[in-house]
Amino acid sequence: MARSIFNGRLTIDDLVIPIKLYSAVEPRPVSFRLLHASDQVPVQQRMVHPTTGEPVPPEATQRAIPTPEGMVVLHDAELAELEPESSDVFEILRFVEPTQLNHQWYVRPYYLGPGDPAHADSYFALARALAAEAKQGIVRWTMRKKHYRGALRAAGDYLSLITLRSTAEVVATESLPELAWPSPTPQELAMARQLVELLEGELDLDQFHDRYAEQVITLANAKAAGLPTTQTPGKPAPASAPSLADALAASIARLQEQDVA
Amino acid sequence: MPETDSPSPFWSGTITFGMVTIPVSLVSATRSSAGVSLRQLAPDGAPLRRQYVCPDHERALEPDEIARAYELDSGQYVIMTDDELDALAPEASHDIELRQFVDRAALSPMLFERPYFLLPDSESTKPYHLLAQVLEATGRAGIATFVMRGHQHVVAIVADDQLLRAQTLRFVSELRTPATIGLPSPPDDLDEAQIQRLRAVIRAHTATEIAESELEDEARAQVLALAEQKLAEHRDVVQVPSDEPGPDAEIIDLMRVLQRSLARPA
Repeated sequence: MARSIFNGRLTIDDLVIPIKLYSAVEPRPVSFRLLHASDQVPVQQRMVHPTTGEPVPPEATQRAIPTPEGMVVLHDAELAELEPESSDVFEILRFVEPTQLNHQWYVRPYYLGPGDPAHADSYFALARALAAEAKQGIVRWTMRKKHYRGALRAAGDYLSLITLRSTAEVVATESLPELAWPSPTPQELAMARQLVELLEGELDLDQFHDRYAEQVITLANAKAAGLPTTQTPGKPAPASAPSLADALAASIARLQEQDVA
Repeated sequence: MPETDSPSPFWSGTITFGMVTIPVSLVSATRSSAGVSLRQLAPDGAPLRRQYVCPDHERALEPDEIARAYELDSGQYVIMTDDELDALAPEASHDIELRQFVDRAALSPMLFERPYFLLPDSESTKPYHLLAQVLEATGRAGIATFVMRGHQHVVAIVADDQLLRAQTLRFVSELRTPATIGLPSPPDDLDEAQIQRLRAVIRAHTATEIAESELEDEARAQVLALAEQKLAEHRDVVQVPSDEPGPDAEIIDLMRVLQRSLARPA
């Protein structure tokens, strides 16, 4: 049972739906600690003056934004004035097509749960309505003195909220180098399409595992138990480069043979 | 306000699609520096330095005195050397082999970890264009694994506007589910009239576009504006000695940031 990280109210028009926010991401399976090697005590961090090496306590620290003209100091009072007021409102601004935002915008997924499990009807009704309309809501809220934007989506019978990047964080395609486009021939296009169809399947992400994390944990346990440790690397063969049409034709032929076999 | 300096590639390799090979480079589709990162200064204006200390010995530690350790469930620490971790890292590979294609709509954004653009890395862009056209026309995503920075990633390759995009995906084991969180089950008797009312609310508030302002980071704009005002008034501006660039200093050219055009990202 995961703990909720925030309690709030989802609102639109006069509608108010009490919700709880839960992270949809498990904590990282492998996280390292830094130790003082000789006595195996976890290290601590502190901020020191660059020339004197004297520790500077947080209350004596100034905060500044670096610019080409120098560091501009922002005082605690000024920063506090810019902090958003705390609120528990998750305001739904509008609904759009789920494809309205491309992949670049999504950051981190959360599940919403009903604020009060005994009065969860409106929560589940909204999840059902969102799924039936096939829309996502654009939501704004404030949490821990920060503004957030998110996409509200149905996830089965439940509601999910995925935080969104701000426009400043999203690289515009206009900033990419211009690409010149020689057109493939209709024949090449038809073959490429056929190849995609031959490789078409159901999405099955369960087949992929974080092998690195699994191996780190295995190695750590082996070392702790004093067992010998071994590794087995594997290497894929490099691919050759025939002409585009030949490569497509050969790929299709190979896949069709596999199908027959 | 997407900013327009061209991002630099940090991984180059090939997409293989059957026996077709497409040389590409990967560039980030996000700008992590877009947030305002405040630096910490001493009372005299010098940028502070981070130091690691041993609480038992009460002294600063040199880098070679620090070890990386994994904490077992028992709370015991196991020191892991760089060599040991390097040996576990998957062998560097420069290949994204598309073995499977799926309906793009089947990819939940909950899976999305980091977005990238794939740019053609060769004079001959025809294979790149071919894959982009076919993926866009069929609404398919190619699924593959590849190794970047010593880690294996699952990646979905999709195309928009004739541009290939790569999206690294979270492992399924990283995602919680309503069941593992412990969310209550939906009631059997949902009020159909209430669902219809909510559907009407959704329709009434459905728009074809998202307003640009709704995705702005207001806090960032406010902090930048305050700094700009102080610069103009020569107030609270501290000169850092030039022989002391702070660690990971990220200099923000305020005027440039503020004047950048409101180009709409695709």
